[in-house]
Amino acid sequence: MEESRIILEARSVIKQYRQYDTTVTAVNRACIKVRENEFVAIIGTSGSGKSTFLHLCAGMDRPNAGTIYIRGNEITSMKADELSRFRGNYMGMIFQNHNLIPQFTALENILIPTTMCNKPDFSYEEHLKRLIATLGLGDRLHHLPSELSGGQQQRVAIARALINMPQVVFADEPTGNLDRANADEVLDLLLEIKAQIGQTLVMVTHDMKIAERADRIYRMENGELMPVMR
Amino acid sequence: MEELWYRLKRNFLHACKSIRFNWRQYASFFIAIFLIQSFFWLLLLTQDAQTAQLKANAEENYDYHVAVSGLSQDQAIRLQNGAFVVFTDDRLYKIVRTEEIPNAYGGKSYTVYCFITAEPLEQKINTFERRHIQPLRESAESPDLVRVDYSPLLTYAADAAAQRAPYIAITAIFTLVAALVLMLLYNIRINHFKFLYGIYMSFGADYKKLLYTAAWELIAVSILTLGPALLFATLVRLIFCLALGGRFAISFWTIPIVFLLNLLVIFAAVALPMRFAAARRPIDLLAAEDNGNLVVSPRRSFRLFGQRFPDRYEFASIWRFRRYYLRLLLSSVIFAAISVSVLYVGTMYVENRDADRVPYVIRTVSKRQIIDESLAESIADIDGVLRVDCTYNLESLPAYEAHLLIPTDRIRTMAAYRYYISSEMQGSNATAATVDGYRATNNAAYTLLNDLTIAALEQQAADSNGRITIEGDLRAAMATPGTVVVSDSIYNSTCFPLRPGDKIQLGLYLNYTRKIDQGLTREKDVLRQQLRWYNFNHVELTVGAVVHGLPAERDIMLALSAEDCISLLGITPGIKSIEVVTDPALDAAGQAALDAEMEQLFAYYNDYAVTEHRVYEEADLEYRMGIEPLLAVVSVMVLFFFPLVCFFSQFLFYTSETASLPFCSRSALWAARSAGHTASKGFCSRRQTSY
Repeated sequence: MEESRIILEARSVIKQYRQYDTTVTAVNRACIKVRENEFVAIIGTSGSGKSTFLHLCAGMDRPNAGTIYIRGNEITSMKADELSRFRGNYMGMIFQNHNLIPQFTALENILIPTTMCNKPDFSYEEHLKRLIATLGLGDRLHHLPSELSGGQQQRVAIARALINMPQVVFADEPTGNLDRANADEVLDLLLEIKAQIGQTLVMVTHDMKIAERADRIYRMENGELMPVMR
Repeated sequence: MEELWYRLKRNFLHACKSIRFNWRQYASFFIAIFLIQSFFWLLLLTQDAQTAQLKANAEENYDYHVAVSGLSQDQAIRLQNGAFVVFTDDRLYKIVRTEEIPNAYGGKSYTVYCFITAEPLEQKINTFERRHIQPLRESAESPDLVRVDYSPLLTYAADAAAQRAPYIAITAIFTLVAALVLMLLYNIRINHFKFLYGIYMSFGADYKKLLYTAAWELIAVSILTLGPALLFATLVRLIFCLALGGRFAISFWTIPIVFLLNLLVIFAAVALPMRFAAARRPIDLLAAEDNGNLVVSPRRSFRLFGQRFPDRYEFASIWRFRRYYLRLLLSSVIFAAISVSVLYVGTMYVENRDADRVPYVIRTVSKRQIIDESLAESIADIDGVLRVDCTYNLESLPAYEAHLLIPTDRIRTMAAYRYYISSEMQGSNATAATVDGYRATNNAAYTLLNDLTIAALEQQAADSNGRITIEGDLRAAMATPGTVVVSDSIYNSTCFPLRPGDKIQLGLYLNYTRKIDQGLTREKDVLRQQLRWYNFNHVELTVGAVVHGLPAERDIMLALSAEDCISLLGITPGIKSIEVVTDPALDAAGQAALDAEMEQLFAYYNDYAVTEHRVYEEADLEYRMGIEPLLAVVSVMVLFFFPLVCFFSQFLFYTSETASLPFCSRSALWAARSAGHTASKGFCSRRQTSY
């Protein structure tokens, strides 16, 4: 573990919002280093800033201060278009509420990253087959999201996040909307694929049971990120 | 190529699928693009009809390509023989007919009408000129005597191309308006459905990708509405044809041109909204936000679909939607202004079409400088001629380094001309008493006051429906030395409200103390220096009559009798050119009779060049094209755009908010708009309800 390279590094990241006359600090000088193939869980109460931090790390949002590196590239200084392309090539995102596009079938939703980001020298067909088999989506591929259960929708969202074989996957409470059995099943699948492909997983959760399966755990409290000793 | 085809097909099918699934969201785009395409079709079909009509007119009325006139008998025979060469490959033309015309010297001249039989026509006409006309010119006493006129049979394509200019301008303006309307609609769509673009950006879509995705959706709409729009435009065009007697035609190039114009509008419309969307952070697009800022009235939006909305929330919305109200007002004013402008252009067009028809312009050729006044009078007496407008060998005042002094109380302060107070006339020898109370201008042009001019002015006043009026006695002014007739308007506004009996002064150049700077370009500066450094002899003139409302661009009319021209200007006035204004109600037979009389008259006047303008044919063509009703249709179509934009935003508001009522709308109405993060956390999650 010590020898693997750092894939994500955040240095003194600050994110503030203006709310009427006051300034709310959602993330306060957060620092983190995540290595290749590592599974890091970020826990915290609602409103603690963990989702905001995850969005900052994934380049979905911009910090007010601090720098974030992915694979040694400073994403905080990238222009919007460059960042979008970089995200498409190296990052995958799983949202709590799936965020599937309703008019597309499960398969079309999964393939969105392949059409939006033309990753050079990458053929997704074999990988797609493996993902579908692992996630058990074979018979639901041509169904619309509205015809799928919550668990199935989340599996589609996972497949979509992984189809481009990103090096780092950000998951924002991927099991938050699922019941216990479904949540465990989804997490098992996620970890199974992670093991198959060898990805880095950064997950935000408020479920301690899920966090315990991570290599390392961080706790977010009032915008401050602290490692949890186990 | 296969890959390209695959991509095109895939993108198109994706777009179609998206449209089919969200057809309600795209309904406004269907209507807007249908209207836009219909207009493009109408415009291009009108052009095609115009070309077809020109061709038909040419084929109907002309049986020759070239008329060679002014030939002697030998030359005519030579040209006739030239049609019969030994080798058929070398045969360029055939003789249609030869006309014999008696001239003023008792001799005859000949006109030979030729039909070019070889192809391609444009190329062979040059060969014809080189091989057959050039030798005739070389053998003539003067090369100018051999005249070559091309019939519309040869020139209709070029004429059609020349008449395309206004269509191109209208197309350019409409393309811009259409792009703006579509941009407005697409902006509303992005605002309501930013989630979709947020997802795309989350998975790697950059601006280019977003642009193509959006453009493909609209291209799909465009392809689907192409046929119906063509059908609609064809129907409208056919109705015009039936009502006005024009022809229907569609050229091969019209289809790709309409499609390309559509593509241009689509890309122009989505480029900017997508640029802004791509510059935003994906999380802002994904986060749920209230989009009521694009709705004029939530209550109305809900009632539109038979739903209820509490009135008290509506009151709260007035302030919240203040920006939208402003935009709404601005949009309505813009759309109404465009619509009224289009109607106004249509009216102007008709007025222009029905304005004075000048089929003949007569000028002198060879060494003769002046046209006989008797000729002008003879022309004026021909049936069907309303009046003759003569241009004399007199010019506007700056050409004589002269100016007019007009009483200060006879000058409109807001008028579009230049004038100066008399105190600036430092170099002038005019005494203070002479110039006091006057101001100077050189926006005047001399003309001759004679019977022809008086007749023309009276005729013009009679035909103007009261827009031109004459105050004072024109004939008395002509008979009294030192009395002039003036007009009072420049650029359709009264600048000098002069009355009969007023005294004006004409500054006639004597000498100078210093020369005017040659580098000066502004008339104003030239006049200023003229007044300072030049000496003038000021002659007092009495205004005998005033022509109110006489059209003029830069100069008012200053009409002097022949005696005054000689005594004041030292010029013996003579006619330089004549414009023959004819009765617009003349039919084809009347026009032919007029042509024959003119031809007969000019057989005895060899030193004049008569330029013929096919004004009647052009006016008839323009009438048949139905430009005015076309512009009326366009005006109505423009008016349709505005409610379309309103309805679209109302509709999207309803579809996106209805399921989350009452909490979401209440929050949206009462709460101040805050940062995206707060909004997404604090209010409702709209995407759950929308998608």
